[in-house]
Amino acid sequence: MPDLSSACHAVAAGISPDHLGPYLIVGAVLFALGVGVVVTRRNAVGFLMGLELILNAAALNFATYARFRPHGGELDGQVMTLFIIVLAAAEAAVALALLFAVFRTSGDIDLEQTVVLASPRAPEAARALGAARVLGEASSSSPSGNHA
Amino acid sequence: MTLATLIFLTICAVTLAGGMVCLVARSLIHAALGLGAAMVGVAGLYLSLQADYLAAIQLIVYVGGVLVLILFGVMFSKDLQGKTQRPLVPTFVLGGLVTALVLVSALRLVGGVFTHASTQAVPLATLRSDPLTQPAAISGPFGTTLGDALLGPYLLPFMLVAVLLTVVLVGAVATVRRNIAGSDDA
Amino acid sequence: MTPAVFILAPLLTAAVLLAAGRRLPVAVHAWLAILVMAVCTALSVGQALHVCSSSEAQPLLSHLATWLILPGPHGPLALNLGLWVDPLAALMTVVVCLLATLVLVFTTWYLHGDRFERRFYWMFTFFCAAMLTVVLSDNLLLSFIGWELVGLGSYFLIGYWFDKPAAADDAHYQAMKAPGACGVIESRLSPAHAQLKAFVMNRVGDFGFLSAVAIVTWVAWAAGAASLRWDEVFSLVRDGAFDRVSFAGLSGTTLLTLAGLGILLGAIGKSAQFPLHTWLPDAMQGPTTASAIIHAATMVAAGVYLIARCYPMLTPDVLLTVQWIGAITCFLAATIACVQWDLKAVLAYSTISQLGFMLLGLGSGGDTGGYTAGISHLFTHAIFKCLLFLCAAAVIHACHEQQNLHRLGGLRRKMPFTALAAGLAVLAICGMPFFSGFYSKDAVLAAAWVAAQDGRWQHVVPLGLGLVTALLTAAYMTRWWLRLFAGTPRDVHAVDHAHDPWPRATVVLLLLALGTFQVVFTFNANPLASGPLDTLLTAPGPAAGHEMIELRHHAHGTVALLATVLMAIGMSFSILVFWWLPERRRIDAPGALARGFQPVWRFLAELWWLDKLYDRAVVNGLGQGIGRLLARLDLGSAERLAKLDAAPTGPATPTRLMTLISLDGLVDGVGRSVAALGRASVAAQNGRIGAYAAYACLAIAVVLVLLLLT
Repeated sequence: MPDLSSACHAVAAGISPDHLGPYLIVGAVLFALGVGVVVTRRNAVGFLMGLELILNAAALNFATYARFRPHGGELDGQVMTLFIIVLAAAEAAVALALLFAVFRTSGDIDLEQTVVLASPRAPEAARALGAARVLGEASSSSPSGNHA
Repeated sequence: MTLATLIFLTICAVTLAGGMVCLVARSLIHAALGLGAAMVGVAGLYLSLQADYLAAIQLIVYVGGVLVLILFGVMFSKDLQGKTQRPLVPTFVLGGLVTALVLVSALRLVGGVFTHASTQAVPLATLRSDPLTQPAAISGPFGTTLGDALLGPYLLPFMLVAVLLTVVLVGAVATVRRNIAGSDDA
Repeated sequence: MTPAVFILAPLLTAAVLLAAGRRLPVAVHAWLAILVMAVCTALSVGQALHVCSSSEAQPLLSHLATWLILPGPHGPLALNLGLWVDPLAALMTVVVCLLATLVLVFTTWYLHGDRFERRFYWMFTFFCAAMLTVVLSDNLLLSFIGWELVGLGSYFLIGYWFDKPAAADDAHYQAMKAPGACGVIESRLSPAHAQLKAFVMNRVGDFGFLSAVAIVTWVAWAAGAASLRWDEVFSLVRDGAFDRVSFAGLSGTTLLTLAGLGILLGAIGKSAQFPLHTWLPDAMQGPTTASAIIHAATMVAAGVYLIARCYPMLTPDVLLTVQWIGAITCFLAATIACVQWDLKAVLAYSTISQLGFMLLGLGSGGDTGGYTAGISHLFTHAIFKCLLFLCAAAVIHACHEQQNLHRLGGLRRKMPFTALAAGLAVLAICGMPFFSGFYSKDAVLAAAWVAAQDGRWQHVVPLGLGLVTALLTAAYMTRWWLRLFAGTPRDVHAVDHAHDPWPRATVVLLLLALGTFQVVFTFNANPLASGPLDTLLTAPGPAAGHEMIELRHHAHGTVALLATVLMAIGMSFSILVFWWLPERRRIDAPGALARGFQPVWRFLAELWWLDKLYDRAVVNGLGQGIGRLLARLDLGSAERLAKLDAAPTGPATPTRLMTLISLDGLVDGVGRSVAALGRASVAAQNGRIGAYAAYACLAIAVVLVLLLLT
């Protein structure tokens, strides 16, 4: 009896187009959409969503090329896709951790705020620049409130 | 247009629709759901590319892991409805510009593919020797398995990724923990 | 003995004295200079005797060096340095050396104890070397070199007391000047200003001279002359080379006239003729002994000398221009001299007037005897004008630097020898028979008379002006003498301790006074006789025809009578107004005259407004105008200019364009644009993470587009 994998392969062989054009187009559009999200989203988490879209598109490209090699037989593309997925997950975790740490108390992750990395010795200078958030302060004073 | 083509187009449409929703949705929840849809669509595309293992991993890790994580982040954000935050106009303009540029150039680049002989369709018959007589293992259609590749030529990256994941785990925890002294250090 | 010794000896002396400086005592400076010039005088007399008595027509030639050889279409043209001694040059050399020696002796008394005394001697000998270069040179180019050096020497000597303040700031001048004095721009009357004024105005004239040199050199080169020597150039003119060659599209008579006018312009500058005459009265800021030699006898004579030298080259048009310039100048200066209060200024304007007279003579033409007349007047004038200046020096020194005519008087009792010498010189300049001035003035007027015989107004007007000037000259010189030496002193304190300069200076004065007599020049007691000068100094070119000689004879007698009558009128008028009426009848005739003819008096006292016109138009308008424009272009804003001037800024604001297109603006602009660029770039670093992410995506887009395009 054919196993699940073979069954899937059969189904896939049925529906897949016989050239890689459509896949690449989908990948390109997805990439563009991801870039759009990255640029436009004001919230940091929204930013991350766009990032994921971009990574997905790239992974899709790799998988496509794995399938459509002329003298077939290699799985390098799929390996790349696997790694991309893994790394994307790791990066999402780290990014969220960072965002959490930076914007901890405000709970509002606005990317349009000015964030300044202050010298621990001269935090006033950074505040004088009108920064909404100043990172690296030695004091425990809470950062300034949200700026829309 | 055959049913097969229709199904394929549906999967593509779902992917792209998800991406669009992610872009234009005001509410972050909606955006997250759109992202989810896109990811599911991509899983479907992996399936159609004979990468069934990858499709499964995509669903488990991406949809089940990353998306959930993002949803957590969205929940923690104050502004779920996205009402008070609109991108600034210059950002809109820049975003539109960049997106358009990327789209156009990517498509144009992709378009070159259609005429290139080396990427023409490869008949399925050459892709595997005999699909129905392969061992019942999770394998790719090329005579080697993904596992063989990972433990063979790609052993080093595999190990490094393992280390990386450990580091990420520790680092993420360390980043968000509070100091014993109770300061607000980042 | 080569004629070069006349140039090299003074030059060497000047170099030695300059180098020695304070190491040698002043007396050594003075007597070394005197010795050298005296030796030159002796040698020059010997040379003159040799040249004038030799029967050969060829002058004494001496080739010193070849500077350049220009290959030309018909043969090479050599630019040489050489000397040419014909009777004219020889006699001029005698005059220069003799006067130089006498003036130097006088100076040892005049400048005794002066703080700059050493400088005078080397500057003076340098000047003599330069003047003798002009006199003895055998081509236009060497003349030009000497000409420029003469200008330099004059610059040095005028600015001798370079630290003297301008008249406006000088208390002594302000106290000295006559009430109602006008005309002179006091803020610009100082040795420093005067030396610059003299040099610059000479430069204007030199432009003409240099143009003439250029034209002549070009024609000589194109026509295949071997060198620029006078005889070569004149043969070019005779053979019509100017018709065959063209220079800047001109040729023939036009070209020749242009060259002649260039020479004339040079002479106008150097000899202080209208319109470039205003530097000479200002040059009185220098020591009077310097004025005696340069601004009376030699340097200003260089212009006249040059015209005499280039005589065969001058077309009738040029000669007419020369005559007119001379006539206008002599009249103009004579009128101004009538109302001057400064005794040195009177002499300065008198010099200008007499130089005009010389040009009047020269311009009358060779065959009318004008050439001879002009040069004769040059020689006689040199002697009596030098004498007048030295007498003025004696008076000034004796009267505590009081230069105002109206304050002095009655000096003949205190300074009899000076009064005598000055009186003789005055009689000479007025044209009294038996004096040298009569001989030469009469010759000039006779030549003008002959030239006017054709009845054309172009020749009659200069003659008329010359005759009027003769009258005026007699009037103002008599006034000068009477004011100084006759009558009662008005400023008793000044004349109190006056006395003759004794002994050297007085000897000099008396020696020069000997030269005011006609016999010295004509060797004949008859005032109407002609002398050796007439034969020696015949104009180059075709000899006068028989008719012309007849005309000249007749003119001689007529003009002599006329001139004497005019002189008598002038002198009697002056005696009446300036001595008899004020002294004998206690009537203030001069004052009444001035008040009665106030507009005329004012016009003359203001120097015909020429000085002020030049100051306004050229110095303020052109000079400072160009300066301001350039400063504006450089600095780009009136504010910065005002800051430089330390002046308060006006309401005018510069436009940004003006700032940008200036030099400063350009330089600043580079800095400012970089700063602006930096500020613009900084705006991108706004600390917004979203913006940074957008930049990254923009970079991706750019990379994709580039991939697409390549």
